[in-house]
Amino acid sequence: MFKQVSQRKKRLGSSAFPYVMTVPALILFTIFVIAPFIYGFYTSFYQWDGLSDMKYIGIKNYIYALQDETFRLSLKNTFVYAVVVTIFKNGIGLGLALLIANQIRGKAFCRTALYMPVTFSYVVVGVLWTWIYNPTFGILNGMLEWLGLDGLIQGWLSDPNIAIFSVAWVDIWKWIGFHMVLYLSALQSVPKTLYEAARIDGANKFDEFIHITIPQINSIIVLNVLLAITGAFVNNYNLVNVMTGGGPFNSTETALTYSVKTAFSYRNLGKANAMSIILFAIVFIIGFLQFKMMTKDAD
Amino acid sequence: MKKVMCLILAAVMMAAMLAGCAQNGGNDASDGGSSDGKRVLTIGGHIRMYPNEEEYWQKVADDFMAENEDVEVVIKWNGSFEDVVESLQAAKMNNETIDIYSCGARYIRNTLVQAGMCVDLTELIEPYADRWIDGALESATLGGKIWALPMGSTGTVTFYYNMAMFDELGLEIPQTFDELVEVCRVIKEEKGITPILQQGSLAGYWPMWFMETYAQSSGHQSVENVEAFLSGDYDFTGEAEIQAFEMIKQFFDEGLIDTDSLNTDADGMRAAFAQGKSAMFFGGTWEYTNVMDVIGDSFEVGVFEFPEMIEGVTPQHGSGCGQSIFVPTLCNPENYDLIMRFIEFFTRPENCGPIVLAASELLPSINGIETSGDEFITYINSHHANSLVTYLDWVWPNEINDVVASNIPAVGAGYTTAEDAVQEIQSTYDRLVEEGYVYAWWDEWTEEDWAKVEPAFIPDTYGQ
Repeated sequence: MFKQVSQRKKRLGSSAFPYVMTVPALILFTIFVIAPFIYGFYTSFYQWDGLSDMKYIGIKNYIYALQDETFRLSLKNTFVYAVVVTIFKNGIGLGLALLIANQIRGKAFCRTALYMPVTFSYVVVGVLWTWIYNPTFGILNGMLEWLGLDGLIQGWLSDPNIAIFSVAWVDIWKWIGFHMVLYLSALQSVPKTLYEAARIDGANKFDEFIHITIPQINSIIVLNVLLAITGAFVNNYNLVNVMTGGGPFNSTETALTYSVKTAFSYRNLGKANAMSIILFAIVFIIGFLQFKMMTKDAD
Repeated sequence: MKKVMCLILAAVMMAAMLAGCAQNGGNDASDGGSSDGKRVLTIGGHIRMYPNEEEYWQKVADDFMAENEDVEVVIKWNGSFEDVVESLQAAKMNNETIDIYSCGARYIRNTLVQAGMCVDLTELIEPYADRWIDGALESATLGGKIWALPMGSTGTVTFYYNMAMFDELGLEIPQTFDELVEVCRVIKEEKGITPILQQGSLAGYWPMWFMETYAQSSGHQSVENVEAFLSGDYDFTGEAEIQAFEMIKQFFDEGLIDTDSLNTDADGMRAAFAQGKSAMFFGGTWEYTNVMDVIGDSFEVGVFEFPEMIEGVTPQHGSGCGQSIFVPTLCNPENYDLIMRFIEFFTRPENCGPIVLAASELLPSINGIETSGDEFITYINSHHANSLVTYLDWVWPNEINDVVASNIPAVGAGYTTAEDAVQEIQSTYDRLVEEGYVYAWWDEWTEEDWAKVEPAFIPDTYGQ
């Protein structure tokens, strides 16, 4: 009897142990993520400048946010940014992984060099590329001029038609190394025998890629796309802020930069929180749909 | 045993984290209480920006303590110039005591006063109002009450130019827009450079252009019109507003400035100017020191006023005293006598002089502060000082300022029209009103609101 109770206690202790060990992380997560989120959601129903007393106004902040032309424009810019960044980060990342997966000279150097920008901060990268794009001193226009490609010289950050793409490129450049490494590890785990069997059946390189590589690395593609798309939606503040501040003429204003501006420059914290909740809902829905669609076959 | 160790470590980690997150229990000094039996006066503000400014503040505090042995002055500089509102927000949430706060005047006017963060100083400062130069206290007055005390130099805006290049090309300082066009034509022909390169990627600098052109197109009624506009009594889509935008477009149309400026920040602008890749820029007088640091001895820098755009209408320049102090409603209510004793001591020219002059020597806000007679200062004081008006971005809210800032280069570069720009300003104002914006907030305040900003008592004597 005693032995049974003691064994049950031991089992309970063993099963509870992992939960106990996650408690510190859970406390941190609750304090720094869950609690601010709940408080942000709560204040989105109030008119509040952060200093004076809060005034309850129901869902008006959500209406004000959706009526705000600049916020709607910033949402559109965010979508454009997210689509461009997701496609290119994954396209280039996968392409580079395929190149490096083969036995090429300087493989380790290429991998290190391509991964290095991942370790740079957004501020450093933003300042660096702002100078590269600079119309007076920038090496990009200087190089184009030197190559005789004067027709390609642009106001990379001053032309409202291309500024968002110039900023997006910097984000892509910074992160392709990260996505490349993930793809590379996935490619290296695909069994060689599958390719050998396919070749015996007469498959060419393209067929191998479509029918073997893609299905075999699908889980990593899902992960990469999810990381890229959510990252592009919620992690663009520093880069945009450093490079353009949302200009010219709001052409690079994203939902994040505009909600921060609304909170701390316009002192309208309630409306800014409503904007953040709207952005959260959009990212949640997109992430959920993307995850469901891309894992449909696996299910 | 391992599990027990892990559990203990986890518990220790949690305890450490919770201790780290716990609210500061406070100390005597920051709570406004006594320390070593002395009364404590707490001074706050953003981190000082000018050479030796922090040391000058400490000296004033030390001298005050020497004169008042029963007092301990605690100074806390926190956050950057732009972080003032967030710093005060954090102080308020943490129940901190701050008796005197020093920051940019614009934040006081645009945000802090109507948020109920500033004590009404009207009655408190009355005995010493004559220490300020004419008009200085008016610039800190809203709704008929004085909320802050200007403690700095007056900034304004001006064209900077490369004197050596002008001399080499035999160019005279332009007075009118046509003369400026001619000067720029010569520079472009002879040097092949963009005559004027702006720090246009910093949107906040563009409204300074509008303040100049609007002052002229409105017939020197820019501030009055904006106040009427914000009160709902004036439509901002009229001829004067459209003309102000079109005047700026003329700078782009005539090739005086181009879209390269939109991609140029402060460092880029100064570097281009220093290397002779541009001949002029339009900037604030507060930039003089930084510009001279970059240029060194390469060439002499001159300044001239924004040109006359309409014949017979003299230019007017945006202006204001950058730094102020105020008494936050977070102050220790028992300290009003001490606060005013310090303010009396501080506003003596010999005490505040070094702090005021650390930023610039242009029109110090306190009477009796002597300036050095630098050529640049003398020129500005003799040319610009007679035609100054309040910066419009001190009058209108940040939302309007941002719309103006984004539309100026948009109109200039032809991405939108002046008519659409003024329409956007008007519709932004209409949206703000719908969201609850009130310009004359002092008319809307309840007795309860006013009670929160009234000083707890008016000291009989300031202890002089």
